[in-house]
Amino acid sequence: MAQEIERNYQDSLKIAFLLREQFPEEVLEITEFRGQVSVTVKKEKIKEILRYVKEEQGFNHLQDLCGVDYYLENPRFEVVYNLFSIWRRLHIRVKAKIDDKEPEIDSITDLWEGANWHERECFDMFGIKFTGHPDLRRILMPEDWDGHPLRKDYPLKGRELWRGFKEILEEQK
Amino acid sequence: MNNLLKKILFLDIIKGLLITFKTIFTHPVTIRYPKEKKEPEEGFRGRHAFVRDPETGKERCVACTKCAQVCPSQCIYVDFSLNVETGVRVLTKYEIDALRCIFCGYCEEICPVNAIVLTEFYEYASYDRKTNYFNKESLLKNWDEFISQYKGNEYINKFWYLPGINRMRLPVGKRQPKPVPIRKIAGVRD
Amino acid sequence: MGQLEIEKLSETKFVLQMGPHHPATHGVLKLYTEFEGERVLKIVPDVGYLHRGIEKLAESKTYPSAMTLTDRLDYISSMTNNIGYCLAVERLMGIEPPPRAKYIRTMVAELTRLSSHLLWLATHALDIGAMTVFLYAFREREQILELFEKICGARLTVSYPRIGGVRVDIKEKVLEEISKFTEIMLNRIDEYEGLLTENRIWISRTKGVGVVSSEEALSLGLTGPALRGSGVYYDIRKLIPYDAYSEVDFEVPLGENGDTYDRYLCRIREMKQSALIIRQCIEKMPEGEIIAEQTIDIDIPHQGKRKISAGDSLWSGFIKFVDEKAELIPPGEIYSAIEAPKGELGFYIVSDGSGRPYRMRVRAPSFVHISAIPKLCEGHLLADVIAIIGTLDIVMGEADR
Repeated sequence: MAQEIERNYQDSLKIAFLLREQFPEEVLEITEFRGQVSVTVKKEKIKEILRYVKEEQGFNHLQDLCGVDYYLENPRFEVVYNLFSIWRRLHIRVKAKIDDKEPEIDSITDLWEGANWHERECFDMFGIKFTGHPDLRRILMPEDWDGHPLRKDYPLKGRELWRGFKEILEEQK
Repeated sequence: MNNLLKKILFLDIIKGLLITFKTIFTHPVTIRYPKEKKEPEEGFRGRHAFVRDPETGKERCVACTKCAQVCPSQCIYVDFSLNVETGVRVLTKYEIDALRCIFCGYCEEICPVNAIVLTEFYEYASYDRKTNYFNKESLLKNWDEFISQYKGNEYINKFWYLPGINRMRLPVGKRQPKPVPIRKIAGVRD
Repeated sequence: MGQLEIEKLSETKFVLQMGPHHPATHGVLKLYTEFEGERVLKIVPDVGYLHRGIEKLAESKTYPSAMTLTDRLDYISSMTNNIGYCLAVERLMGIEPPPRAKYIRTMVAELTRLSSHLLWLATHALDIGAMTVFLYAFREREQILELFEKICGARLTVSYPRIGGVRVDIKEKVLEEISKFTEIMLNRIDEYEGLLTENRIWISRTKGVGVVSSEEALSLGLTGPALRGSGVYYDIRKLIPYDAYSEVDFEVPLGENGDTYDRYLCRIREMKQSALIIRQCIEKMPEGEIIAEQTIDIDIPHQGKRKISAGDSLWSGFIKFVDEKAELIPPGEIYSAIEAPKGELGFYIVSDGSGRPYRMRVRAPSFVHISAIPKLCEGHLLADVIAIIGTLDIVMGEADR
């Protein structure tokens, strides 16, 4: 198990350095924790970066796409892409920083079709808009909900009762 | 040629019909519920109860509030009064909202004096919500009801002493399995 | 009627709403469908009827308490959800469970895979019309749930695996019963194959339905038996082994055409391999400890108190927790995935140094598979839509979280 982690670390680190040579101004930092390598980039050229990683380096499986809210830092949001290469058995993580004033980033649905619903859920829970997405609307919450639940300043019990419940309670009276 | 013969003579469908024909002569596996019941295994997580200590006749709880801290759905409410000279805590209020409980068993694992237990009794549905909001007296009553129908001389629950873990990592009250005696052994008189 | 009206009538499409309450959609899933006669023109799935907010709830609980939340994600196979979460937290801490705990966890995960595939077989065959298989599979599944009751006290929402090992030890008597059950199971799988595999009705209902090529399947994000039916060799138990999978022998079945019949064959053969893995685990099980030394479990004296500063409350917004024993988990992030019966179940956990997860993200396989339904159903008939939902094996508990 320990040599697996070591092999993953060494080979992914080489790929991270190749990525930095290809896009020198976009890569902000390269970190490592428990054998997994993550590369933090700016959000402008995210599509070219991911196309390079997919086609030149062979990371063909998009495992996950999600958002994280760092409430006390600036820029506030982060979109995390976890990628896996099946024929080389390597894992790498690409993170894009997004600030609070204009939370927008390019959508990658023409590279991987499975990213469609992941991006819709990220928009529903955090309020990050994906430009170029074919159908961006709420997926888990009701369509007329206000607010974005997974942000850190949204309380655990919600702000007020949903419009549908209020109607049911009034009908009962 | 072989495939054509199989197709004409319906051999694949006859194979399936033979399997179902053989099942007519096996014993049915259904249990007819209200008349025949299955005994739950030992360690089954059912209704909550407070153990009645055989020596003192009251509960064993010392109001350390560990169960209230560890409960994932926060359904235990504990209140105690502190005797300032001796430092001994006296339990005044203990309530469990069983309708919020998720029956995970963390409270019976962490209690250092083995005061609370999830018994193997599961048929306690009722018509209103107040019956299932247990306080101290009704928890002791649950234990008496469970003991009156328990077949066996002493009772122990495996989540009290956690077999398999190194004994020195647990608090003192949980290191050895100490069963609660229920019936006096026949032939021994008071 | 004039000529123009007759033409207009024949152009109208037939809108059908397979609403949330439906016996064939395996949970609360709404499908908005448009048909022309019986051919599918458009399908738009709609999820969110079972959303309970598990990711937000986990941010206010400690690591052992958040494990009781993961029980309820995929409620049919709850042991594998617990194992996935415990593996992610153990990798974050940098510890490993002792050998006996690894073998027990492998054995329990394979029992869960058998139970989940039995339920899949029962409901898939029932939807297509073979009702006998439903009752036979539930007879076996009842025996597996009784075994779970003997091991840990609950049938459905067990919280048996722990961070660093398992909760209580298994007695010798129970191991003997598990090995007797394995022998019975190998005979019963031959019975199910005898009823379905060569049956001409089954073949004509499932061959050529829902075909997907390997590049399309990888781009759509399918994993698990849905991807292996198209010929891609992606099994996390072989590529990134965890627990005791590197020490037992088993094969991974692959399909060729990518249709429903191949996915059915993949799952039936996986059931047989699971029974063989359980037999090997029981033979090779070592003695010893069942939980690691350095762990944040609950029975090793008490977990941290919840210190909230004055003026904060759960109702107002952002709170910062301070816990004892928080130094065991340093700040960082991890992504770890396991091979659940339905696909690849991944956990992405971000920790900030207090004793609670800062962000817990669950990558659920059913969520991604539902988004592939419109692509797979192009050009098929109404009855094939039911077969395709059954072959993708979805459960709404993990799709909605």
